[in-house]
Amino acid sequence: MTYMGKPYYPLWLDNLADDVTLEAAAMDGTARGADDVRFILVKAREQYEHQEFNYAGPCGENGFIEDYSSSVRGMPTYVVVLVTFNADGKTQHVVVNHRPRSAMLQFSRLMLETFAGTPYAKHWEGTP
Amino acid sequence: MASTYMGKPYYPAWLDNLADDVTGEGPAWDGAIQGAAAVHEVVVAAKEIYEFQEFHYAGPCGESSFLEDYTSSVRGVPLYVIVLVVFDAAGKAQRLVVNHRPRSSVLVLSRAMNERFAGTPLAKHWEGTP
Repeated sequence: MTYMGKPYYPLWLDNLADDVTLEAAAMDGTARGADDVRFILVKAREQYEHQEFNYAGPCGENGFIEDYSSSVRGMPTYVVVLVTFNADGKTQHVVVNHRPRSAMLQFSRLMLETFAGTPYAKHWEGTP
Repeated sequence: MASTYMGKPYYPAWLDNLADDVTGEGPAWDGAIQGAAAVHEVVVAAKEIYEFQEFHYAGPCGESSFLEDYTSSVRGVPLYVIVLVVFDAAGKAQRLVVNHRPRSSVLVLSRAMNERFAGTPLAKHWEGTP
């Protein structure tokens, strides 16, 4: 995981608000709460074969954006993550956007496999 | 179709300032749409399919980008959208990434776009939508 040739770690992931929410192009519904959101995001990161960040930095008045290239099961997958902070500077809202459509659907199927039989599976059930 | 930001009509100025070699990507289609004419045509078509657009934010993002965050609906299905526009050194829109969610709504939009562009060279981006 690199940004401008150096190792990169998303600090916002260690600064989640208790009532943080997670939405995504590859998900249905909204995941809520720091424990659930962190668990899902950590599992999602395990699916990536690499992450090459093109940009990671401030966006607007209280946001942070990541724009990175990756691959999942050999398929090129491009991602834009928008993080919004609350008044205390904690991560309040995370939106993860995979593209193109084929890669988004593959990622959704992979997350369904990962979370099958758990309460989290509802976000990926029904993926064609 | 009403498009509003903070209660006032909103029009994306970047749409009239596309670089000749602009690209358009998103979770609702495969491949990259290439060139100002094609990207403009697709964005205008999508705006016709949206039942409304209510913007929560439209403004600068980073050093050379612009972000839109809006709520919409397509065929009665709620659709949430984040648009990232990256400008080139000349200030023209060089790269457009349109991020729709949730997944079910992405597919509703993709099917609607497939119908809209059926029989045209642009249809390839939505063909095969499940």
